[in-house]
Amino acid sequence: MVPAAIHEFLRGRALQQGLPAPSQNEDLFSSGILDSFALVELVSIIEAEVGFKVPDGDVVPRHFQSINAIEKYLDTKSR
Amino acid sequence: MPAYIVSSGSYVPSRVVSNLDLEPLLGLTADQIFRSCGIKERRWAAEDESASSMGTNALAAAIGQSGLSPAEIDLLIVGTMSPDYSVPGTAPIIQAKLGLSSIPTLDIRCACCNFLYGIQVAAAMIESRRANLVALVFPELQSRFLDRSPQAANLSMLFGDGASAVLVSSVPSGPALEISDVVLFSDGSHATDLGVAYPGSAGAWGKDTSDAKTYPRMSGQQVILSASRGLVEASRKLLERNSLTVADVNWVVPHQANSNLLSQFARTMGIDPSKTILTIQEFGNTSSASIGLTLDVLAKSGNISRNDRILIPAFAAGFTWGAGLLRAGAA
Repeated sequence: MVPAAIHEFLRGRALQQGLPAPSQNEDLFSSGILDSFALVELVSIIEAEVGFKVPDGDVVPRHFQSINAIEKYLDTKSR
Repeated sequence: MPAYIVSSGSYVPSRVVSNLDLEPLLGLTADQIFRSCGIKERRWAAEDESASSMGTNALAAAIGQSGLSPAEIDLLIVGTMSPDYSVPGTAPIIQAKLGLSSIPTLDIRCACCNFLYGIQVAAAMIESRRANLVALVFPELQSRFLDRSPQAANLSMLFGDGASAVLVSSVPSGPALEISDVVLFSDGSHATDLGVAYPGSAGAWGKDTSDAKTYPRMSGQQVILSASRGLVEASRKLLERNSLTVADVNWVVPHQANSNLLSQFARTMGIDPSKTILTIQEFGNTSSASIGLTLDVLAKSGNISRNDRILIPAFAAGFTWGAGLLRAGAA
């Protein structure tokens, strides 16, 4: 389950780019919703919402490529 | 005995290089460059300029503004990533160019954190009564070492040339800024994530033995992540140990790395954007020079009021990072 704050952040980023809210499978990087800086901001929100520190090595696009990828990453970490 | 920044000076070369000028070299549009880093233009030095010549100009400006005599300076510290030579350091060259007496000179190599490390050392020398007036100079001539091709666009769009200087004194003359506190960190396990491999005794990074080994290298995502975390960590620690909050800070003069990084830092810290002084649009990332150059712009604006607090965060190759706290007219 992806926390509401993450959806809100991604919707806000999409709005800034003049894009609709991203779908579950949409590539957040190729759509321009995320870039290197926004990814770090997203990680900060995840850390605040989920309560664990995302290791540096995990901050790579593949874990955060789409909402589904984020959900999968969070599931892995919560086990 | 506190230490005070009593004067500042800066110098930038006259040649302006706009994003439009870089389009054919880097294969990006001017707008793409601006959106990536918030830079509109930067200065590139002329053929006959060097780190020492630019640093000498900046220090002469700081001395001229102070009303102090160069003969009163009893220690010269220079921080640069683009020294005149591998050996000797650039500090003795600036000493000679300015005609200073045979005072001790010290080169430091903390990249974009040179300003923080420099004022920390200067303050320690003054507080321990080993010096009374320390000149700090931060010249950078980076354009000569950039890979001006599309493969290095992400780095080469950033850097500009320039120099800054401050005088740190035991006597709070003029519009002095007390050096209230500095926190510093380093993590050498990231040494090869940002920097220049050559000239160096360890050889090229990885298997690269081409001429490109003399160009700067950056692991972009790692640098952004570590910088984002480091700037916030250092600033929060500094404020906390001085029993202050962000609301107590009147101005933020960060190392001008990338405006997207600085916006993100301000959002995370809850800093009002109007408090952050930015010179990156017109000067680019001038590495060691950037904090002093930006502080000089703020000082000359006349906007600093008595008792204002200035936060100066920085992140650099090494990695090194930290934050400093200055207080205006606090004597």
